[in-house]
Amino acid sequence: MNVEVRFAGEKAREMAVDLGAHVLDILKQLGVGREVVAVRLDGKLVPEEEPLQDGSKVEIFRIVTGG
Amino acid sequence: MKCSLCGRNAVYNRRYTGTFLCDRCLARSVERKFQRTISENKLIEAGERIAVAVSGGKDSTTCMHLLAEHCERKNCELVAVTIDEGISGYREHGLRAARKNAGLLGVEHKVISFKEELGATLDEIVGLVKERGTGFGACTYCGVLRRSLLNRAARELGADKLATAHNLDDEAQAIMLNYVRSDLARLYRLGPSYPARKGFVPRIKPFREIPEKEVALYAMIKGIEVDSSECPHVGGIHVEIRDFINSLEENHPNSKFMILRTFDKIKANMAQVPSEFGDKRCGKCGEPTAASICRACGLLEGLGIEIGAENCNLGKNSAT
Repeated sequence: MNVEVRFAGEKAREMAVDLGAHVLDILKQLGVGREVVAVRLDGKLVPEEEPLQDGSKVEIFRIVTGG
Repeated sequence: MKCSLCGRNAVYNRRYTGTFLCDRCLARSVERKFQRTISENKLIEAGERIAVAVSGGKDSTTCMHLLAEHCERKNCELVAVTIDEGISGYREHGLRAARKNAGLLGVEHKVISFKEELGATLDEIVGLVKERGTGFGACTYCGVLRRSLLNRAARELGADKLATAHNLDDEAQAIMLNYVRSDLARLYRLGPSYPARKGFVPRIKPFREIPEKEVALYAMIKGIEVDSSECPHVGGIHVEIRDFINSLEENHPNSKFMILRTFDKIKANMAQVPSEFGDKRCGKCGEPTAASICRACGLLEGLGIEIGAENCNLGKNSAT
């Protein structure tokens, strides 16, 4: 299935994930750790274990920016 | 996923306790940790005047919001201090967020700039550092000079305490950094508060037990407008240690708390570590120091920035 992913304010892009995938699988594909991001799924804050649906909109915010 | 406490939709997996939390339960928990850190460590007494360092980022802005509520309940005064280091394309965003939030909360807000106080912006200092190859990174200059100006501002504003928004991640990173550098004096200073020393406004850290991610989620849940831009000068060992600890936490949840708890136990047996500050004052600016001139003046001197010249106000207004 395909989901729309917007990472750290970048332009949204389509990503292919397996049926039954979770937000965490997107983070793994992007090579981003869960400690440094917050995630909105279809406009709502969710834990990284939240399952994805075909067409889900995933917004990933980088929360660790300083030094 | 559902909240382990109330069954509403979860927003966060608190892996170090094995619980999923909804927005309300997470916000309540963050507020309780903030209050508990203050009360258990007696960080703020009723009627005190508290200065809070606010960069406009998520941690300090959220800290100002929670302190504003706390101060209202405890009949304390709150004043916000922002240091404008002069980082083009970055600091102006934070400054705007700090001003806006202080205005919303009705908190007195003072802005202190590197350019006005020291005669040079951080961008200019970084340029000089590159030219002269001093061996120190931008974060060293920024951190030392910012801390010096914050202390002076808090003292001049008559603050009893200076609150900073150091969270669990910051504290774990500082512990690790000082281990790596074998800097026992700086390691010993770490804690929920820095003890009162002549010339220093005691510093307090009410976010010390709150993970950075929980602060960020709290700000999002509460709709607090913060600046999320990244400093262009960021880098060095701080970032390596941050990434290492985050990777540790990812694979072994609770590592950050364990770093903190173990350090606190060790610290209880470190009482013999002498303070690096006595009653000495910097020969250039009059700020407290361990040597004949303070670290801030030493760094500026190394760059050829004339201390005590027309354009350098560091310590000019320092009293006592």
